[in-house]
Amino acid sequence: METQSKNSFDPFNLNDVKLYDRILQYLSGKDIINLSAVSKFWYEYTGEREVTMKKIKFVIDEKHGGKVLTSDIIEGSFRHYKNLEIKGIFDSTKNIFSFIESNANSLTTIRTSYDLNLRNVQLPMLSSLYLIPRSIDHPINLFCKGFTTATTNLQELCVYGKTKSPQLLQKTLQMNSNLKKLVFENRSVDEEHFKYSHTYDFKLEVFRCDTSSQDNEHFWSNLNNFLDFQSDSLYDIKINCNYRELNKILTALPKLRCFTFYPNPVIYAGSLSDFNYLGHRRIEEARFIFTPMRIIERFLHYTPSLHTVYIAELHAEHISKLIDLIPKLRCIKYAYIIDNDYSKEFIHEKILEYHLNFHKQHCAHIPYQPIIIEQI
Amino acid sequence: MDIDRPSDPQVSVVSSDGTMFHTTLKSILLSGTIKDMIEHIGEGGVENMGAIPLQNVDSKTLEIVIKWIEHHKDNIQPTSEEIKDKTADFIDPWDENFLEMDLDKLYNLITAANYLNIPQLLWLSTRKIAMLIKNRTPQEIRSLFNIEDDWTPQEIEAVQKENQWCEEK
Repeated sequence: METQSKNSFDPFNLNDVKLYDRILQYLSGKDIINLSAVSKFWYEYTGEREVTMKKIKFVIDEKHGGKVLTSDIIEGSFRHYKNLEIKGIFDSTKNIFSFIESNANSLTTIRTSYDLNLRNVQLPMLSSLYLIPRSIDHPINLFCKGFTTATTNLQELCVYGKTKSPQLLQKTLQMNSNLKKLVFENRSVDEEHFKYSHTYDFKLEVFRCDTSSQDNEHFWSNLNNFLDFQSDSLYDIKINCNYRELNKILTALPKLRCFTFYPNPVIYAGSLSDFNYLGHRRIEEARFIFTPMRIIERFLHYTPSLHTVYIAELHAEHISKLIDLIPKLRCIKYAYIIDNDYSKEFIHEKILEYHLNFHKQHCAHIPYQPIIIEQI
Repeated sequence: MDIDRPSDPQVSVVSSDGTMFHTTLKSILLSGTIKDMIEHIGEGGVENMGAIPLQNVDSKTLEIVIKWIEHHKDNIQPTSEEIKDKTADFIDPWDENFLEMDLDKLYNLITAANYLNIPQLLWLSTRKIAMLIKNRTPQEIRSLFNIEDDWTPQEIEAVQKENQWCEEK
């Protein structure tokens, strides 16, 4: 390709800015970062367009190559960032706070492992908030005062660790009536979150809840009331519970289309005969993690719209039984799990392949090939 | 449709610099803009309507556009809505070869495809520019597009410093 006259890729060569956006939409975040250093025009242009800024995130990391977030970076930046990720623990939060303050009207996503006190900053555009402790073994005091008062427009709230102040999280749930997706993973859920659920205005579409060792009566009573209130809108749920609760949940949520289940540990799960499920008309996709085959078989038998099943468990040969049971399925995906961890060991893959091939030879009418995946 | 009328009648278009081109109705209907004009006057009036003036497209660019629409006249074309979320998937080798042109021609083609509302051609030509930018350093982009480096050393240092904190989402 020949190079052209000076500044041939000048904005005034294309008379419609939308054409620039069309070009930029095919570029990755890394390409956008490179493009922003080409010239002053491109720095400003990429900094002000939604199509570019949604592809970049500003990452504040204590291990960020020894770099320090200085005030001149914050003050000198023309760009208004939409996505922020905060990793680690910091001696001083002054500059982090300044960064958030200067981008308060544009930030749409924050992912943080740091307990940030936002004082009186409002984040009117913030729609996604991810609270992630650095590791499950080192939960931190997530959700201090900051986000409780800063957000009113959240659509997605994902908490991946124990919060020290469930009351504050509960307040945030009360403040954000547009919430569509709520995730409590890694023992982050607390009875407190559902205790006053009648005061929540939102109607969830997606709810993922790791109840872990929670087996007390009040907790489930509160959760069931909460789910009853969400039953008009909820179409995707992930939950772990005992078989009796599973019956109730499936009955209470008529709009469900996608369902993920993993049972409580054996001593809490109850008897298999507790699962007296008699059907759900809408569920199309089901995911089972470490779930006894009798539960899965009953579920598959009574769920007529089901077309995709994910299974994570130890015994590869079980999947052959399932294929025989439900020839109407369009897709089965299988992940090998051992001791509650997904395994990618070569030998396990070979065992799975053996079972799947064996089955295929004896069941020629099955129109699909089960797929081995790494995890659900 | 009139029984004596050719199945794919000839249509004439005139570029902004006054050059007339002839093509078929089936080809020219790939342009949403011209399709709207023809629908406005009614299909029966195609033979009598005379040459269609295209004030925003010069003759060099119109020649390229006509080459493309005549090649694709029998293909089903995506709509503007469908093109919006289209990613950089498989490209027909003919199109790849067709787009091997200098940047000025490519810019004019983008503008023409936009004006004439030919979504697939607009997608191909804008994607072509994006592919030229992809995986290149700022200096390589400057050289390729002949863009002046208007940063002072202090300014570029500040931008580079800021960019170190940015990652792909």
